[in-house]
Amino acid sequence: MPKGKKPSVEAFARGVTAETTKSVRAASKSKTESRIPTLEIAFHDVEGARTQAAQIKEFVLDNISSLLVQLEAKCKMNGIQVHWAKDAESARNLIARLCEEAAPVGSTIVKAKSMATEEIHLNEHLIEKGYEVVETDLGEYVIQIDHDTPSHLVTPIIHKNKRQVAESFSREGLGPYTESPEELAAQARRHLRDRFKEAKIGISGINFAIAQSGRLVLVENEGNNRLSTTAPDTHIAVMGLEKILPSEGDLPLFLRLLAGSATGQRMTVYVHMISGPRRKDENDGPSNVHLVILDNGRTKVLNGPYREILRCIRCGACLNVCPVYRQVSGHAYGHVYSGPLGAVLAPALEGVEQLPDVAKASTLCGSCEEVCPVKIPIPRMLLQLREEAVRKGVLKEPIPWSMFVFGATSGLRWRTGLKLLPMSKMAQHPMKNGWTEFRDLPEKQGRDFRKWWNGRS
Amino acid sequence: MEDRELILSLLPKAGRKSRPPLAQPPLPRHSADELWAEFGIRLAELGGRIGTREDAEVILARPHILDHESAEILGLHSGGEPIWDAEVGVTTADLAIAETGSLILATGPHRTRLVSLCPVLHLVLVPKDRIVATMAEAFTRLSDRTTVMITGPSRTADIEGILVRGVHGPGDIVVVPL
Ligand code: SF4
Repeated sequence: MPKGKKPSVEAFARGVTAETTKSVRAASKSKTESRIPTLEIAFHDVEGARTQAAQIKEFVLDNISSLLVQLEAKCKMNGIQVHWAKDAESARNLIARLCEEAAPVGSTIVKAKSMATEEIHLNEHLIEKGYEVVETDLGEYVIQIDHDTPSHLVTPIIHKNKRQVAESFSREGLGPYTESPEELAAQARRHLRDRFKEAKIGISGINFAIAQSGRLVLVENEGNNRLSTTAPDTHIAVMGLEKILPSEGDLPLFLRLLAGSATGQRMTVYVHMISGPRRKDENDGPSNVHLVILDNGRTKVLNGPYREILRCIRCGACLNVCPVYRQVSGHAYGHVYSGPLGAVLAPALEGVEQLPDVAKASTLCGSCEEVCPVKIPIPRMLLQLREEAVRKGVLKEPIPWSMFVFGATSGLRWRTGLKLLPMSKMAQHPMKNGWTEFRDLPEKQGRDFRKWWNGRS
Repeated sequence: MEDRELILSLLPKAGRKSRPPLAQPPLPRHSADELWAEFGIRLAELGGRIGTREDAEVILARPHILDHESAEILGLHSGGEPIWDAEVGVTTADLAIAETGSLILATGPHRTRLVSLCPVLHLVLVPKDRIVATMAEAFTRLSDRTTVMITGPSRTADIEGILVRGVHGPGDIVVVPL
């Protein structure tokens, strides 16, 4: 996505090609279809499991201060060096300093996919400092060589098809032109192996940090994450401060919810639980492990009305079911966090003034809340954000009726098969400005919107 | 103010004393053979397979690297190819989990993490009594060292959602209960 002034969501949506929409819809559909059967095998009571996960995450947010102090103490006991960064700039400078201590400028840094590092625009900073930074997740690698940005939390090149990947790989000289996904993956494997061998530093995010044991937990399917955090002599992990779980006993619940919700897998291929640097009697592993605990707006969110969004475990399920996301793809949201999650998290972190219109990129159909493994009330928060934006005078135009209708009817066509928020619930929200468009809706009949709309047309 | 103190001062202070309890579903009672049968089904679903000692011997004809414990079990010398050149990596797992077809491998004395990761085929030996029914059970027995749980071959679906095995880690995994 070109840098500079961000187009509005609607303006962006108009420019999305049919090819992109086709890729996004197909991938979203397959992930959504396998989610429910997988979770039903994992949990006798899926609803109960989601409630429990939500409660544990609420406990974490309630006790975040003491849990972070506990995590810090345990990590230090394990030999992990802990650092704190109040914002993106502070984090970038800190990580650049850690890199300079670990390896001379010009060295190779291998990156494992991490939204937190995308959020702070770390790669650009380290490249400017003179490091060679290589993304190693297959999708992120394609993003990097195409100077693109990820459009999905879990599957970053969901907006591209195999022909586009094939063209990029042959342009970069990875091998003969091929559109076979197997051969493309093999080309990436060969090319990136050399980078892993020479890398002095590996940088990753984390999925969970365990307060009780000081262990960092990373999940992935490819193996690049393990390679990035095992082969180089220094590992730097970056975590948003909310990514804590109280104890290791919580992992089976969260790992299964995450795998099932994200890709419909029973379990992610690799769950890497890092207890510190390589010990004397071990043959390999990094000798230095750093953990960077990132605020960058999160303390503000914790103290405000959008606090529950910090329960998020970044599974991407809400993106996969969202009729608006499926149509416009991730780039339309103009932020690293897209879809229903991003429509709340991005303005919550940066201020609604910065991203006044993303809260509109929703039909309020309620599917996101239905699938969320930690039961985040996303539709309610989207309404609150719209209200805040209108109140602050940064959102003047009324909510676009066209997008609302488009998403709702298309959602039906795609048969997400999900129950919807009854209209009566939405009507309780005191939306004055911008909400008047909906004054003709049958507010208290208890029928859902899609049914109503279909009956009318 | 240092970032640490600043962040801690901004965090909400109010706390709740007790955490919500975890539901503990009753552990199913199965014999080790039943658990191995279940493990085999789950592993096959993922594209891995159960092998015999004879299968292991055939596989070991390829350029391989063998860790300490596995070499002892098989009565061979440990070592082999340099880690980045080996086609086969042989390890011994600490635990197998029947319900998901997962393997737990901790780091430890003389263990090399990359053996289970760099080669194209991962041959995993598991003493027969090292199997549990559920992941919850396995997580009560974790080593305090860095540990990996491996569930099936390395995979990606980044390109058009099409499943490809063996993108960075091993695309083949053969588990030999002994
Ligand atoms: S908001 Fe919920 S559904 Fe969306 S990515 Fe986060 S955890 Fe997953």
